Amino acid sequence: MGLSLAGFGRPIVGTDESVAPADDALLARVALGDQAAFRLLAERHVKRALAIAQRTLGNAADAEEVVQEAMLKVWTHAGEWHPRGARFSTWLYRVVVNLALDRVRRPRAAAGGEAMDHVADPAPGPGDHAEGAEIRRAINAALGEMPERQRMAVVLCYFEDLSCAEAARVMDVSVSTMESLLVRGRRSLRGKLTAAGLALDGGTE
Amino acid sequence: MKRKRFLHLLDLEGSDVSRWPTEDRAAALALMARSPDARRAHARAVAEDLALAPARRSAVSSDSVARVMAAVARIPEQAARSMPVEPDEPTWRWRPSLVWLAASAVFGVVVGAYLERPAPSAADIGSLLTATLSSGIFGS
Repeated sequence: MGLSLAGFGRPIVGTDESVAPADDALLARVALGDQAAFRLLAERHVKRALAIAQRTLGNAADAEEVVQEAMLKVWTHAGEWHPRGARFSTWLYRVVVNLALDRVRRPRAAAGGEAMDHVADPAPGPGDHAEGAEIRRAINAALGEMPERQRMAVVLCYFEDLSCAEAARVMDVSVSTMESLLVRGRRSLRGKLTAAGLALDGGTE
Repeated sequence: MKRKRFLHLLDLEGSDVSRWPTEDRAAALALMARSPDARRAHARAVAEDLALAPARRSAVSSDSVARVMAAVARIPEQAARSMPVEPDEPTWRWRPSLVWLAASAVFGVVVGAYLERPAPSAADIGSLLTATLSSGIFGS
């Protein structure tokens, strides 16, 4: 039995129940006020959106607020979105990244351009495994010190495993620019982690 | 493949050469076969990927996801509440205008009637004022 769409009385899946509706189809229903479609869309993308926001901001609480704000934009602006070959996830991640970077910039501007130490949250989150807690904190601190675009390239491509092409669309830059940012970002991250005393080479000569 | 390109691809694509662009794989393997320096760089990249692997796993907790999903479920209702409310009947805005329009019309007719007469005397002007006031346009 397919999921029922509130207000439509039609199944949320097609005639073949094993086929999930595409994001675009769900978004079209969201534009008509369909709450079930909105929830399904959120279930698909909230976790990764949270991961991107959390790595950008360095803490879970701010990341939750950013993703909620992004989902509010999805609900209120669904009718204005036209795919034109773009994926919904790309659009959502772009909104998340922009909202997160706005938050990062806000306190920095208020502090007169001080270093971005606030980005790093030294306290492990509830989902932080002991195994990765130390290196996660070191990475958060290192990311917080990196230039914005390099940081986002590393977050999106290296940590969240987006392709360079998709990350480039999220950041609204060319693929070659994204590749350059990623290479420089990874080298910068390596340098900062090594300087922080982390052995990344496993003792390799 | 030159060393510089090899190091660039290590940072761009990671240490797993099988995930590199097809056209670069064979050249990369050939470089590693003949260059100890390339092999060392590759070994360092593998070690780095292993060291960072725990941090690459998602740090998002299920509690965090649950809190956001609960907030998402409330969004439609909250958005509906924050919509601007249109006034029911904005008739109060034009009713006074109609009263003044009617008063102006009456005044114009009276003045027009007197202007058709040549050189009104002081008595005529007094009558005009009396007629205007008695028309009730300034209220009773």
